[in-house]
Amino acid sequence: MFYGWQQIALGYIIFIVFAWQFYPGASMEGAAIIATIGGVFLATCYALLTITYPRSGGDYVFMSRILHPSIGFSMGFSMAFWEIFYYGINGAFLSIYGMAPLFSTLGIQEHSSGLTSVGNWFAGHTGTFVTGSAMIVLFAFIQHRGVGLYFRTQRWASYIALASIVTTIVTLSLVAGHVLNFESHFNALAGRNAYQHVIHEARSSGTNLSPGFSFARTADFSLWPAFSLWFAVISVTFAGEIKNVRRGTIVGMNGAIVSMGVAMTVLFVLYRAAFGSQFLLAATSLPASKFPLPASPFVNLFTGIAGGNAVLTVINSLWVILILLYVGGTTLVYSTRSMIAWGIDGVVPDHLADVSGKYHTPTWAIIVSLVLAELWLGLYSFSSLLAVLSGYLGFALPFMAAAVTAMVFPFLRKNTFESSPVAWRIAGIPVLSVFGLVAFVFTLFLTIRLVQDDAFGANHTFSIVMAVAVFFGALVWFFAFRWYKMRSGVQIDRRFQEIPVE
Amino acid sequence: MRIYFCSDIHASDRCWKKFLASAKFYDADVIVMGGDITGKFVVPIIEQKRDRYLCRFNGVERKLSGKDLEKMSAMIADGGSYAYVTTDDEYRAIDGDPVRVDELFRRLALERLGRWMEMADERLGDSTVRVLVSAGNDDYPEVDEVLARSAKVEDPNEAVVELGGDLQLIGLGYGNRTPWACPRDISEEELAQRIDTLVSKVREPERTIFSFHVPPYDTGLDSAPRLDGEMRPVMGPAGVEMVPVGSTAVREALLRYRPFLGLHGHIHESRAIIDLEGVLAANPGSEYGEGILNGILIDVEEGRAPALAMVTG
Repeated sequence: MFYGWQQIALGYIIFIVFAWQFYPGASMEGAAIIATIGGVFLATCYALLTITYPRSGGDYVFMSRILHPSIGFSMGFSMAFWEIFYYGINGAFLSIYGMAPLFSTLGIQEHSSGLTSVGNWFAGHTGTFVTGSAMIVLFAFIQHRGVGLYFRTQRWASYIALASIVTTIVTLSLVAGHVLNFESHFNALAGRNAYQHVIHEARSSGTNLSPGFSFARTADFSLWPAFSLWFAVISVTFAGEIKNVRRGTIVGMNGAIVSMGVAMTVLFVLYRAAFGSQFLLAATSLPASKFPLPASPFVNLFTGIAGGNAVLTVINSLWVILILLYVGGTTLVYSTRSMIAWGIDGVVPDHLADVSGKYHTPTWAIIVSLVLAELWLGLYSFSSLLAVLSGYLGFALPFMAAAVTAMVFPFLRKNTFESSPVAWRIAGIPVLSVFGLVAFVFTLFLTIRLVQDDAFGANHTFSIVMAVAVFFGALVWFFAFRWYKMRSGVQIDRRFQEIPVE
Repeated sequence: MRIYFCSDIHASDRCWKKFLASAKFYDADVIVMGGDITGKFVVPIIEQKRDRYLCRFNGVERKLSGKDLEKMSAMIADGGSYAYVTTDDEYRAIDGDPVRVDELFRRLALERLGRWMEMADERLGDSTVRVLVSAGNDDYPEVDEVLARSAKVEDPNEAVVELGGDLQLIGLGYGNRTPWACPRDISEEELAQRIDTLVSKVREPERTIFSFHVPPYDTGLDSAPRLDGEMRPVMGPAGVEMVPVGSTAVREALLRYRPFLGLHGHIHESRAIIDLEGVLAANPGSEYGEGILNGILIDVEEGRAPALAMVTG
């Protein structure tokens, strides 16, 4: 569940609240609930398929065995490609959205230009690259020394993050209960009546700060929490190493989604109660030049200001920083486990499955992930090439494919399903197919929204082309590599085909 | 020459049928089964009332009528267990008596193996393919007698098999001690002794395949969950704690005799091909529960190292 928590990356809530302005009438809490419900259906599909095929290697394992090896590889490759992409990019996010706001807030609170400069350095090109590289190398090193060491550090980071989230909830509750006064703290730092001025400025610019509730906009907005919460399913990558797969996967994935969905909902309620819905909409919709503080209007900045002292600011920032940090670690776990599975199945060079004799960790898979992540980070830090690139379509495709796999599995692999521990039926209909159908509806809706939604930013032509290119590139690789291996004398043409029994 | 190797099918009917079909499917000249061919569980199908049965298989309770029995039994057999249709009274009587449980299990295991031998003779009797099947540490000693009944199947256990050319194969179904005290568990010392005796009979260890059921210790072919005093997997921060459980005697033998190739099974979750200080060794792993037959194709060419490829059938 800790892995699921880290993959969910609650720290991204700062973007979610920031994006709320683009969905007038949307309920943040309602969107989180919709995303949680969809996530439970999707996670149950992943869990039940994993119970049937309890092996490490991600969704590649069950898709390659149920649908076709080429589909399994292409979907798994797509997921791993974008996980590596975010292994690099998350390093930058840690610097820009974790470290920079912390030091900016401290600088503003303590009236220290030195701290503000440190914040600016973290937000700049060099700071982003150096911080990101440190994160990438740190996790590559830790995971090379042993996955046990990695999960031990992740567990402690989760405990600290949890304590920090509780502190944030307490802080926000005190503000909402008027024990602490956010408006006066904000005005003290941003200038007299700055709080009201922000609202006035936004209203003057034509922003509707009191839109009526809209279910349609809430459903549209659920895209944001969904593409945070749903990543708990990525824990499928080490399904072969879970003690009680049956209970572990169902409880682990769903537990992570539900608990983080609840945490997200509670935070949304408290953010609105503590800072005011109108202020949140106003602050995030204003251009930077009109916002009265030299920092971006993210909720972690406001929480720091609300606390009113430097120690509380640091404590309240810890969970955002730790979660942004460990997202990098979780993405590396996924990509390396996938590479091992591909290497063993012979769809990529065997070396990718090589394991260090000393530490029993996948040396080459880690090196490949590290090099690619550094490349992405460098491009992100020092060029604008990746500014419009989003990998979410690349994640949506495997999510949708997993839902389809769950739907068709009882019919496509009848014998395996009937003898599996998940051969449950209600009124003769396989439960797995029902979960698959509902998950498919959710994933299809949100995939369509990804393509349509300009605010989410995943629908730039570059992103769409890349998502499609990665999938088809993997497909081409699969068949080309198979052809190459056959030419080299290794007949893998039938490597995945089921042997006829009669 | 092409050799197909698999292991640990634990009574899965479906995997056995696939094994027999593997020669034709992969164009193999020799097919080898590396041990643990009998199952682990009897699944009772209990008659509740006339033409009504209850069965719990893979954690799912299934209500059956008489016409479903054949299909259910086949499903249980494909998953590697032994279906046993019984009455509620007989079930209660057997369930509380470990001796009767063992007798029933042994009878069902040997009956199925006997049918498998007949099937091998029927399906491959006329072909030139060689079929080598050895017992593993989980298999009763009587398994050897059943294997010997087949005209087609050769049992390489503690024997030297000529594969053609100058290549030989030796088999060993015994294993180092496990927490379950399996029928063919022996001490590392005895294992080393048996290996030395066997190797003394081959022409050239470097031109001999060692088909030893247990994998060499601490090589990545032998990682299994660490167990606590109550035989439950121990959880660590990374999930189940994995520890090497292979044989030190097998490891020493591979390093000392440097065989042509080491082929192993025993640990289902340690599917890998490794290079142990210049000695190639492999474990195809096992997914018999889902009816999937994992194997390794070995292409042997004169003057070249063997080319290995994992397959999933």
